[in-house]
Amino acid sequence: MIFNGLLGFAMMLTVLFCIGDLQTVLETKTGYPFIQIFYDSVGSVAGATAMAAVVLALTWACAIGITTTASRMTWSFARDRGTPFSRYLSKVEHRTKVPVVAVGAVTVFSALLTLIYVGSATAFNDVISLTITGFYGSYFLPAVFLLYHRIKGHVASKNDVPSSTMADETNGAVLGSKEGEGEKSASPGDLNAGTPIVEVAQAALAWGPFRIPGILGIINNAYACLYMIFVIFWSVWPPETPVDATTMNYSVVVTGGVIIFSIVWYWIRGRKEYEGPLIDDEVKAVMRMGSIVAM
Amino acid sequence: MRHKIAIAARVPSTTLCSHPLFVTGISIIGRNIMDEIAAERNSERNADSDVLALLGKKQVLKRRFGLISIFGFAMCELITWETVLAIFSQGLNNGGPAGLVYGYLIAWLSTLSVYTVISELASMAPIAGGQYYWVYMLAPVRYKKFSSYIIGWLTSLAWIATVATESIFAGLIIQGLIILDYPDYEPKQWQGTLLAWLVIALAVFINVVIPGLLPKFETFILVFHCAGFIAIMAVLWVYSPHGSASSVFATSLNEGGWPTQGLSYCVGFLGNVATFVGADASVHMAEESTCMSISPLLLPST
Repeated sequence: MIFNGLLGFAMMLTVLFCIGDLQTVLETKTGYPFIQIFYDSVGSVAGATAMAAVVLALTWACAIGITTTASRMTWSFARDRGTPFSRYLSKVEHRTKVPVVAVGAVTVFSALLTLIYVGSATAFNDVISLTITGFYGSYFLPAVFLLYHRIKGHVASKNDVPSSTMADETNGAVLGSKEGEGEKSASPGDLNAGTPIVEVAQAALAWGPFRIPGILGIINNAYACLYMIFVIFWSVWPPETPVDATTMNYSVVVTGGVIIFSIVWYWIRGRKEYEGPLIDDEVKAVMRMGSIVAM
Repeated sequence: MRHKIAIAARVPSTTLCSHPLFVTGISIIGRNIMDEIAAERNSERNADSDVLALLGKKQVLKRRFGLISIFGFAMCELITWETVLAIFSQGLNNGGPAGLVYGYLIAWLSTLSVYTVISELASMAPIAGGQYYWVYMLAPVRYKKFSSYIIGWLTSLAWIATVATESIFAGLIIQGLIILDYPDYEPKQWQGTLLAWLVIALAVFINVVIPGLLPKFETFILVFHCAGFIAIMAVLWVYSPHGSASSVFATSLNEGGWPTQGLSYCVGFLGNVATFVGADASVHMAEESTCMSISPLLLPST
């Protein structure tokens, strides 16, 4: 953020100082004002092409990395049975250890999203604001909860970590037993015979190696939350007025649609399938062993 | 008697990745089993997979990314100067040069604040799932399941939309270059979408067929990212006529036709926000880098 921010700011000042005539740049045929600026600057098609090709290569490389990230996110959610067809989506290819089905799924959906561009002149703007609405929406909730817990002092400090991680069956955070066994909180004594063991990951609230301590952290966290509300609000506005069907900002439709769909899907299937982040069998085996010893 | 599962804390954390979860973590007894599991999987057990085990997950993906390559990865997902070039016109139309410059500074510092919080969370629980895991960890008991479910969907959507954004960006740059090089070409919007699909196709190919090359690729792109910046800056400053300071710092525009300049600033501000979006990429790669505890620092630093 700091390093890239500096580069970006330098580039922005450069572009603004070198922009030349505003109107020709904004009304460029190429669709990208920066290509026009490059052309006006070097005065040759070949030179401008070479410069824009550098930007293209880096953007393309970014698209490749973003695809990786997006697939890992969806894969991870499928692994916890959050998505439909989660069994397939969470598959990891044996040779490469890559979740190939998830890669396929996210790219098919993003290919569909690019179809917005066929119909809407401001689609470029739409997909941008769609990412903002989605991201800031997804950051907002954990940030608000963290703010609450840090004000209340619920988060153990790094030096003050409890000596053991307790997963207490009665604290409500731990959801029942294995699917099919149907014993919600069966007799806790017998550990060896498939007794309920923590199904859902519930790490103790403790700071990691990195945090802003004390009141500064609270101020920062509070500011971040306020800023996110501001951004989410403005992210659904169209780029110009008056608005018609082609200049409409469709991000609110897509984001709202996904939120509504996920709520509906939660009531239909999700609440039966999704239990929160699950604990893998191998890890459970370790925990089971650990608990026997602790007993 | 209450049924408790206790994991004793006796693991020495001499490794680079000394994580508090790890310190609280898997006991010596558990360790042997972890070793067995590792042997079964033919993979090495290490501090990173132990942290992951504490979050409830076994190591499935391959930890391909070292410190440099994950740094490159984080840098290249942000690609701020390239995005500034690609979308500065949004802020230019609404707000003008002055709106862009001051908006950029505000967006930069504020986003830094947001990502500091995100990296605090990533530091608490470094896991590929990210947001929905944290929501589950932090939400009130009654709403844990529901809220983390919704956030899981929202985060997936955001990332899918980012794939769409980047590929549209790249696709339209290709189209822009064709327009520049062939003046007779009549651009159509659907061709832009097709070019975006071409971009996606290559991304799928690299991700599925040769993922082993990704770390080297990201390291290369990191160098290219810096070199390209210097080259383009140099060309622009040398060849272009320079505007005056007032044309940059004191010129506002309202091309969107908003009733007030203030509204126009706010609408254009979103272009600046978009410049920094997606910096949590390295968070979702937490299960693929060899040092989880460093990863959260990537967000504010890169």
